[in-house]
Amino acid sequence: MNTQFDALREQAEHYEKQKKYVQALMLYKTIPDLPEYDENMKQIICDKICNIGDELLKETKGIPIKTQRVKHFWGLQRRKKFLARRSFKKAANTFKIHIPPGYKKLLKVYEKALKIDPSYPPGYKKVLKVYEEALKIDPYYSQAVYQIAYTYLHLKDYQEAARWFRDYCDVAEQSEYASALRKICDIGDIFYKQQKKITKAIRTYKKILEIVPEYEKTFSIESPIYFETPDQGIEPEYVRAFEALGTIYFDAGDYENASDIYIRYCELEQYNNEAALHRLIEICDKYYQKKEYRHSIELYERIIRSIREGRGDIHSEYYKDFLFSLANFYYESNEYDNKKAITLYLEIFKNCAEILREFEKEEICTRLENIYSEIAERAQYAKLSLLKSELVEQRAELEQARQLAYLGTMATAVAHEINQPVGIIRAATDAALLDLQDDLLQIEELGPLLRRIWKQTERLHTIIENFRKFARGDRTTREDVNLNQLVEQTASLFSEQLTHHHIALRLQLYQEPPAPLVFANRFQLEEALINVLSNARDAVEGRENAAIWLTTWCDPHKDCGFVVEDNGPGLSAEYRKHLFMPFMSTKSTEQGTGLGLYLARKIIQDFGGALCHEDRSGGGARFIVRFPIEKE
Amino acid sequence: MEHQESILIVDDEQEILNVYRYFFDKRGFHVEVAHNGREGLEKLRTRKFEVAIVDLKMPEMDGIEMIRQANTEGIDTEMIILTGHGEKDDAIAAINLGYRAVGAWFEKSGINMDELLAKVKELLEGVPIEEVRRILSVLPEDV
Repeated sequence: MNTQFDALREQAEHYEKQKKYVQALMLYKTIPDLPEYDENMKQIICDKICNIGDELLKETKGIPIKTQRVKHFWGLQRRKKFLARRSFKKAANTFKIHIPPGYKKLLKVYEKALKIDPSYPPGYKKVLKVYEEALKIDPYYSQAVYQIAYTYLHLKDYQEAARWFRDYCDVAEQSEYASALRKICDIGDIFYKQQKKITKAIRTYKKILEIVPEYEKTFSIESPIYFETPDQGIEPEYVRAFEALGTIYFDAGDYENASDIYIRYCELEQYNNEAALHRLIEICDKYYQKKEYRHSIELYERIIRSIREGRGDIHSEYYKDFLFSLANFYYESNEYDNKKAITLYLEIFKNCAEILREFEKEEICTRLENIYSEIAERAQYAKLSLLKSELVEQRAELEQARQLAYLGTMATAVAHEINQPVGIIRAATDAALLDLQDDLLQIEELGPLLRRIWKQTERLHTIIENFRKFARGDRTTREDVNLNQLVEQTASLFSEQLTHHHIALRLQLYQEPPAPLVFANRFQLEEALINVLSNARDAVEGRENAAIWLTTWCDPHKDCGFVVEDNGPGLSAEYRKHLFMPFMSTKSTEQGTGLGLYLARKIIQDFGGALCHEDRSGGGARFIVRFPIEKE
Repeated sequence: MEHQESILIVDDEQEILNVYRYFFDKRGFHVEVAHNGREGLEKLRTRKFEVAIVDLKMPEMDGIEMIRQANTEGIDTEMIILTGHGEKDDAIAAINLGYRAVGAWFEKSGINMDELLAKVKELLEGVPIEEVRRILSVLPEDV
């Protein structure tokens, strides 16, 4: 007895006891290579291997068997079943042990019958029955599974055929397995292209996506030693299934499933399949066209995540492209996310520096700059709108101040104006009362006294009426305003006040026909005049021989207007520059709003006129208001 | 006939002059009027007035200026200032400036003629010596 054989067998049996069947099988497999190998040994090893196969098969038992068909026999725990089948097959092949031949004869009879009449369906049914019977005896009889599948194909029962081909993949040798996959794909094509049965086509192609990883898992992980390694590279039918499925979903507009398939497809080939990459980009474009920015962003995010997880190359061109597209989406889409865009653009710089082309670098730099400036602009805008609102508030406040100041000006003028008549009435009545008390009042004095009082009330009435007209005047309608009247009326309002301030007011009114008429709003024009006049008053107040001149003129062929002159100090060069700007004032804030000349000019311009300034000959300032006369 | 006290009324408003003149005239005063400071000053120079009632704001020469001039020229007429609306401060300033003989001020639009009359009479009588002593006693010595 050969010790080497015994030692191997002993060790293998030891493994067997420990239920380490793979190791046991591995040892048994080496026995035929021994020089002392003979028929006797062959029989022993064959038994042993078959035992192991049986043991492995036993482990799959206890799981419910649904039908009588072979599928249910090992559609169970695939891994173990597969191992069992393989071990058995291997043993069978190695030691030329074959399936009981009786069934083959039977089959041949039926096959002959089919050859006589290939279109005879009952014949196929009989073939199917024979194979099914054969499978009952030997579940690993792969030829039987194949024949059944093929028969269904002949019968055009594609669904059933696909199912059997799928089962065949589990029992077939590697070369046959590939052809089975091809058959399934063909069936998928028939469903899709000929029958237009999308759901069935999808279901069929999906079988491939299930089978292949399972098959490869079994080969590459579970049995690295014992079984021959599968070919490196991807099963072409697997790729075909991905392509077909992706196309179906894409054509059907089911971009969600399509992108799912294409991402898996890309991952399968480590993102080296340009067509698949292109499809993913196309899907993103579709989303973009449909304005489903969220979807395209999500898809790009998913792709990038997949690449980052190692399924693609983060130093690749396509990764950069995806990043760039996503960053652009963040940048451009409505769901504007500057922060994310910046992060991605920076990542492109960091990870893709070596593949970044010069113009892209520039482009990204521009983008980044744009984002930064946009952010800055937004901040600026926010700040600006804040400023704007502040300005509006400020303006409102100033308008209020202006109105108050204006009312103050008017009130002062009116108060001065009414002081005299009130003083007269007061003195006259008080004197009369005292006369009455002292018995000095004569009855004939009563008439002149009352007339005196009435006269003063008439004066008061006029003052009040003028003020009321002005204060509540309609400031929208326009009419022909006689500048002479305007100047006289305004001057009368101010005369008392100016006297009070020792300012002489001199009127020089143009008396020739035609009268200086301006189509404007009387009250606004009056306000403008008051503003200029107040300005002149403030300029000359407290000066020796202070005087203001108000002059009107009319040149019927050209223009008409009025001039306000004063013999004040004139304007400084600095002030002159900003004369008509709002809030420019030489006065203290209590005294003026700084809006007087600005508003006066605005009013005058609104009526088509102009307000300008020049130096008065002999010192002081001269403000000219000029309205062109429109020729009819 | 006893000595008739003379009053000068200076105001640019004719009606004021009319009312005041008539009022004092009735009460036995000799009343003259002037329409502005310059005219008033001329009248003060030409004859003796016991009291002058002077409006502050007037064209040509205002009341303050007239009083100042009269002071410098040694005219010892007692002055009563009439003010318009809001001229109270000017009157007080005039008194504080130490113009001699500014006895009082009245706001025209709120005037009480009996008070004015009483003031005129008071000024004509002169300040009682006891009052002068009392005022002097409460004043700080350095002043």
